[in-house]
Amino acid sequence: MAPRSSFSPGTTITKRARLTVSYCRSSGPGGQRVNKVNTKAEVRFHLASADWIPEAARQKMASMHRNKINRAGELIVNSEESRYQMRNLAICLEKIRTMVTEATEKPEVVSKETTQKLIERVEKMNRERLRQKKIHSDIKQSRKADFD
Amino acid sequence: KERRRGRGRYGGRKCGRGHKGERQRGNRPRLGFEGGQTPFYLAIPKYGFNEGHSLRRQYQPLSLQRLQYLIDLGRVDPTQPIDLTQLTNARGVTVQPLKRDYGVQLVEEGADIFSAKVNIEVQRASELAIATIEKNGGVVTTSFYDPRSLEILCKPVVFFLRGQPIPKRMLPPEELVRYYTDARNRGYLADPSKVAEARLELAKKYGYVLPDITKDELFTMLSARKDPRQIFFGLAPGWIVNMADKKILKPTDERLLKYYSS
Repeated sequence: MAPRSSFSPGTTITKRARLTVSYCRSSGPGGQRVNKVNTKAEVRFHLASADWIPEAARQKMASMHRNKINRAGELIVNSEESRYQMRNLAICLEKIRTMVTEATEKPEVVSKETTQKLIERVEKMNRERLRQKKIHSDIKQSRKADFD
Repeated sequence: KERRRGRGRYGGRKCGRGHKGERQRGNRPRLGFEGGQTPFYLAIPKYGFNEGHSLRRQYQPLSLQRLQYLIDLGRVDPTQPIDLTQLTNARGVTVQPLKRDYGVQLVEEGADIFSAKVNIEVQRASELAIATIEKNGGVVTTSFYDPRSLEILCKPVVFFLRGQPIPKRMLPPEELVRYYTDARNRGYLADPSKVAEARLELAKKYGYVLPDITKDELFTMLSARKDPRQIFFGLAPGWIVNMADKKILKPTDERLLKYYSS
């Protein structure tokens, strides 16, 4: 499973990034196990001082995920989807990776030629449609027996 | 108020059989009969859920929790490479080669509690299980044993008493070659450099620092691997083990040597 992010792969996430990982008990049903076992993984890092993310991406993340940032400026990601702590941690890291990828991706610049081609295509489709409609209409007209 | 007793052995009076009818007279119809209505087991149409079940490969699950339990109790020695033979001797798992069992698979149950550095060899392992073992500084390998080799592996003493030479382990069938040549599954036929890469990838994915096993004191033990044609660690195919005289006989004829070393 090759890392899908255009951002450089996960080495930087664990080694350079100062991520604070903490575990606590998950919510939901599950009896004694959910009451006692620490399976929820929470990862937090200070967004403004995260130098492993480019500046522009940091701004974008701050605006996109403002609900996940607390007053101290830390971006919090948590996961309690799996029964295993390790897997929840992996899910958290994956979420962070996707967030950073989304923030770093540049919006696709559609070149002038492509936009023009698309407009031409639409116009051509409409012309063809009207032509076919006219042909069909002529056929139907030719079947009319108008005795005058 | 006490219950009125019928007396006698087996209960007495009606003997727990009820009053008249087929019940008392022991003439009830066969199991599944519904009085003439099409019974449930015939009304439901057939579907191939169990089709080919006798040809499907089964792997006995071994959870990490069970493995930790065995190590803690001292039934399995983590200072030696852990093999199916070790597990069977410790009665940790029971494998039935005759029931289409092809070995043991590692299951994630107990991944959070696992903390033992082991060199383990199983037949299948899930990703999280591999990650947990490598996080604790161990080594996982998946290898294939054909049914005959598996029987020999599970019950070595019985095999040695037969007096036959140890056969060479067969290579996996077509469907499994792809599985065992993949570094992500830590297959025994995979490229070692790719296995190293896969270890790093898993460490990145699960967010732990991969401990360097080359600097470990048990490195020679952890890197001990079997040859693809070898069944037991110290023994090569073609040798005969004599339990009574406690001797090992090795073939000397060059044709035999050529066959067994191929």
